[in-house]
Amino acid sequence: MRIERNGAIAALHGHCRVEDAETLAALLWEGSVTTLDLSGCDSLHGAVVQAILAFQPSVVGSPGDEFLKQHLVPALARRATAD
Amino acid sequence: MIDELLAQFLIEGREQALEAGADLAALQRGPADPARLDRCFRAVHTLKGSADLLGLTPMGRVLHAAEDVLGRLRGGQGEGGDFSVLLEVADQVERWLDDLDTVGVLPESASAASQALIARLAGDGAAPQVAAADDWDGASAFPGRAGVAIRYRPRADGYFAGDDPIAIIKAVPDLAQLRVSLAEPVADPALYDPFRCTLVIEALSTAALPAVETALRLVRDQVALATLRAAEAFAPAGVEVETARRTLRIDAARVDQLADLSDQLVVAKGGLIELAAQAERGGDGQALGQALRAKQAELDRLVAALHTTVGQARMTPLAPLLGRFPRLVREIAATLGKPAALEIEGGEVEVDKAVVDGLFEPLLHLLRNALDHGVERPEARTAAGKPAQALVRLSARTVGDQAVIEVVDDGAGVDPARVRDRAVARGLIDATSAEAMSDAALVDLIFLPGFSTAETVSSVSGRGVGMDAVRAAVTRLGGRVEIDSRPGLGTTVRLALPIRMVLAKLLVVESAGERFGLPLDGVAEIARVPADRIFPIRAGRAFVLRDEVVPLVDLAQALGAEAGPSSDRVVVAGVGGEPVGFAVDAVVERIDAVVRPMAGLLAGARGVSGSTLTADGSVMLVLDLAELLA
Amino acid sequence: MVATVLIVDDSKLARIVVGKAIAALQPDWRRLEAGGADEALALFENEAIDLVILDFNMPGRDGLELAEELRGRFADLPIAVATANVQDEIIARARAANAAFIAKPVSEEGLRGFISGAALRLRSAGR
Repeated sequence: MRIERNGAIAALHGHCRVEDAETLAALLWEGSVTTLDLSGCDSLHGAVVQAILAFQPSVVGSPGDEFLKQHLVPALARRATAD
Repeated sequence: MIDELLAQFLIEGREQALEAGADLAALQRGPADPARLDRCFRAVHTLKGSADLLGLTPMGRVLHAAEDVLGRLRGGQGEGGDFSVLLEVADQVERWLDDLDTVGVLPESASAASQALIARLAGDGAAPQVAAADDWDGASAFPGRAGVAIRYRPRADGYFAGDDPIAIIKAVPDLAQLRVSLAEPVADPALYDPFRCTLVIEALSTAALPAVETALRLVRDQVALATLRAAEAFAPAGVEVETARRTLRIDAARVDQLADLSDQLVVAKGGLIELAAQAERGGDGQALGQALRAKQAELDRLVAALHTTVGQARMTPLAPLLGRFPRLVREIAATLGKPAALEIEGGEVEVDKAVVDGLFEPLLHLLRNALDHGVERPEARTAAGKPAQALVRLSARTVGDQAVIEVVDDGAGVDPARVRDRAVARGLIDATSAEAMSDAALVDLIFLPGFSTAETVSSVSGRGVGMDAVRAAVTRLGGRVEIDSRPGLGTTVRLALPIRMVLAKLLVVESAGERFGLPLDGVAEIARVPADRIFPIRAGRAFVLRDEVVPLVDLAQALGAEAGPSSDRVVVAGVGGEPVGFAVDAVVERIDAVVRPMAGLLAGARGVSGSTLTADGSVMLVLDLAELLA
Repeated sequence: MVATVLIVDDSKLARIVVGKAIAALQPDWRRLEAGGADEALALFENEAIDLVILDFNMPGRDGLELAEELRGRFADLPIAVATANVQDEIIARARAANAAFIAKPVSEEGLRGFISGAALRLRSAGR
């Protein structure tokens, strides 16, 4: 996983693996990132998904991977706005 | 032949599994009870024999292992044994019976599940971290959808074992929907543990069940699956809900009675043929009329007897229905992390089969609600001075011609202020009228359609199926729902249901220009009360009937119409054990009629218990006098 | 951190394949090899082994039997069983022994979940 910061937006790139969950959770807890751009993601591990659900940043972006684009990112976006 | 055996096994096996489950639960809670242990051993032994006979190998094997454990306990070895794994075996057998009932075979996962349970019965292997709620209600999670509904709750240490739940769900073929959520909210972000898995994944696949099972086989113990057919998806209010299980066990004596009645009907029909022949020959009109009247009386008697006997044959005890809930409540409580005990009473109460069949969904919903929204978290309970383990009671009793079923929890009760705010926010009532409402009236608002939607969603209570669906389902069965909440002490939801749906004897009266049916069994007598015998008493009027002062109510006024022209006809009916006189314009006739519960707009009308079609095809309302005066 | 991983397979070729995949994921880890259950158990006497990858199909004691024996001795040891043929009965036994599955032929991708999970566990045990 590579993280690209642009103000309150953080863009995640590549494969976000289990060990990346800790980095991401720390980033989101610190509070200055309010939006995640998932356009550049190739995969998201369950632990990373869980960190997003736990800290509820806004989720944007349309990744290239079909599963991410069709199912996972919309599911995360729904949760982030529903609560 | 196998089908016949299987059908029988589905009936008997379920009873034995329920019995074993109930005994094991009692043994786990309570002191050693050799009689219970014996009974449980026998039930498991019989189940094992039947499973072997039907070639249900995984079921037979695990039951064999369970029988061994019970045998040792019975022999006094392993005093005070651990019944929790045995209870899981009983629960698993019940789930397999459900599978056999719906698809006719054990699921592919059966042998793995069987092996795992056998290993745990033998004492090796730890308990699974999460009990997969196999009875999770897939239909309400994906209303109106067809396919295989999946609920995947990975074990808490799954990340360490190398599992990636997202990759696993991604491998499921033909995904149509996906939802991700957390099993518990993050209490303190500073203490957030990124590697303790709390994910809950719900998904819908349009692939066939075996394909989905194959994709999830490595985590099958953490997954609940439900096959949804579009017709089975939870129907919106107002649509008939068809239940899957339509088998009915009937006492042999009742079947004999039915056969006897049908023989008599055949004979009576033969008599009509003879009379028709006489009429054709141009016989004596008056004699023919008398003969026809006699035949009609005989047919009347037979039809009424047939109706009654069929009604009795349809009467079935609530025990098998109520017995399905202990396991479900255990699983729901485990999912929510709220320890709870379920007490069940009144399984012997007999109710019409149609009523029993329609009660599973509403009761399951009420129990879920009680655990999810009623019962507080254990810490909060302890802080409030309550035992950490919640108590939920599901009880049934007979009151007159009704079965009263209550779901009582000892939770926090319903907060009227929160209900009011929500109802106003949702535009169900306006703020001014909300201010004027009593607490009880406010709490009753939770039954309004649209009250419980997305916001109350949790993994247990499901989505979009609220208390309005419960009220609609109960109303369809001709019943009523009431809620009674005591803040801090708990909530009682009471269902009052008709015991039987057969011919009711009605007294037809006229009031305010309309005809109404009054249930004849509530009517004590019809009296003539001249105006000069009526005197004012407190706010109303009364008359003296055989030295007893009886309050007098004008039926038209009670119905909200203008008082009619004075007539001296008074129907005296018992209301709450006391006689009350109802002044009517006229008493028309007595009839036998099938009373249907009210639906649609009039469903909530006060004092109306149902409707019936009259001979001329018009609809006549049937009144509930007690409710009319309440 | 440096961990020691034991690869147990009766085929030398298979051990090389697994070793390369581990090297790609965790270049620093120390790799030990054993050609069978007895040799593996002997290694445990002298080495501090942090995780094991066992071939299911081995002559003598198979991978699951070895997994069950190791689990009896090391409650927290991350164990993976590599197999091409996953039957329900094997799943149940592996689950009872708390062992993970790795698909054969073993690849870097196939190994990643188990290796990163084990790394997490070792790290959290270390801190």
